[in-house]
Amino acid sequence: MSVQPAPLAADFPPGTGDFDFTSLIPSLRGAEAGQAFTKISLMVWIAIALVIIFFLVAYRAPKLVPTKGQWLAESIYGFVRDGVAKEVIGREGLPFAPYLTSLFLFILVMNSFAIIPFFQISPNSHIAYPIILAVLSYVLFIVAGVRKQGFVRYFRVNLFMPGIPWPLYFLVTPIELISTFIMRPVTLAVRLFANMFAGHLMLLVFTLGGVAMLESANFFVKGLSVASFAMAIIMTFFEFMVVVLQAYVFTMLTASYIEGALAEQH
Amino acid sequence: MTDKQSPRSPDPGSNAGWAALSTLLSGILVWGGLGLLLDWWLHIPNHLGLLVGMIAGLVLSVYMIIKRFG
Repeated sequence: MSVQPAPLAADFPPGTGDFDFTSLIPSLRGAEAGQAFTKISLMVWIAIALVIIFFLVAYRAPKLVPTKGQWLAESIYGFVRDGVAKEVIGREGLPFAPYLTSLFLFILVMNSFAIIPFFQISPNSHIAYPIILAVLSYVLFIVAGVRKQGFVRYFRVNLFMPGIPWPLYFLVTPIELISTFIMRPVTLAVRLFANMFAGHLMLLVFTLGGVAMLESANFFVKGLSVASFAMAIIMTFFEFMVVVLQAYVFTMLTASYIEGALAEQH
Repeated sequence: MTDKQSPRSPDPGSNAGWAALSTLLSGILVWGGLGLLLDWWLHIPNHLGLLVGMIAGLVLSVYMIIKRFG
C-alpha cells in the first residue's frame, strides 16, 4: 500500500493483509491469475525496462567523447568492472562484469522504489524476488566453479579443506557443505529482503504514526506528530543509503562467491 | 578464500568477515541440529545433545576459521 499523509485508510492499523496486492487487471481481481499483474510486478517490469532502455540508449551510438547518458552508463559499468569484478575476482572476473553490472543496477532500481513517491515499496520486500536473484547468483558461482575446475575437483576443493588431519573431515565437511551451499544463497536472499522490508515498515511506522497523532484530540499529541513526520523524513534519507548499500553488498558478495569458486584452493 | 588477495586489493577484510560469520553460524547450526535430532531420537533429557552439539560446532568452526584465515 502507498503511504500518504492523506486521511487514514479504512483498515487503519495496517496488517499483513496489506502485502497481498490486488490485481491491476479489474476483471481478474480475486482470481489466482490476477496475481500475475499487481503493483509489485508492475514495478518489476518498470525496473527491467528502465535498465534495458538505459543501456540501449546510452550505447546506441557510442562516441569517443561520450554524451551525458553514455558517460553515466560507462561510469556505472566501469565502477562495477574495476571496483567489484577486477577488485574481488581479479583478471578472470572481466567476463562476469556485465552480469554484475546488470545485477547491481537492477537491484538498485528495484530498491529505489522504496522511496519513490506513489510506489513507496520495493519489490524486494517480497522475499520471492530476492530468492530468484540469489538463486541466479548461486547457480552462476557453482557453474563457474565446475567449468573452471571440473565437477569432482570443484567439490573436493570446496568440501575438504586442505591442511587438516583426515579424521576431522567427518566433523568439518558437514559444516563446509552447509556454509557454502546452503547458507550462502539463504543469507544473500534474506539480507536483501529483510533490509528492504524493515525499511518499508520503518517509514510506515513514522508516517502513519504521524497521521494518527495528528488526528488525536489531545493538543500535545497533535503537536508531537511533527517529530514523527521529521523522523519519517530522516528515515527516508537513511533508506536511500540502505538502498544503495544493499545493491552494492549483493553484487559484492556475488563476486566474492564467484572468486571463491574460481580459486584453485581456499 | 582470501590468501590470494594481493596488496592491490584494499578490501580483503569484509569478504573474510562474511565467510567467517557464515562458517561460525553453519557450525553451530549443523552440530546443534544433529544434537537436537539425537535428543529426539534417544530421549535425552534437558536438551543435552543440542547443548553439546552447539558447543562442539562452535569449537569446530572456530578451528576452521583459524586454519583458513589465521
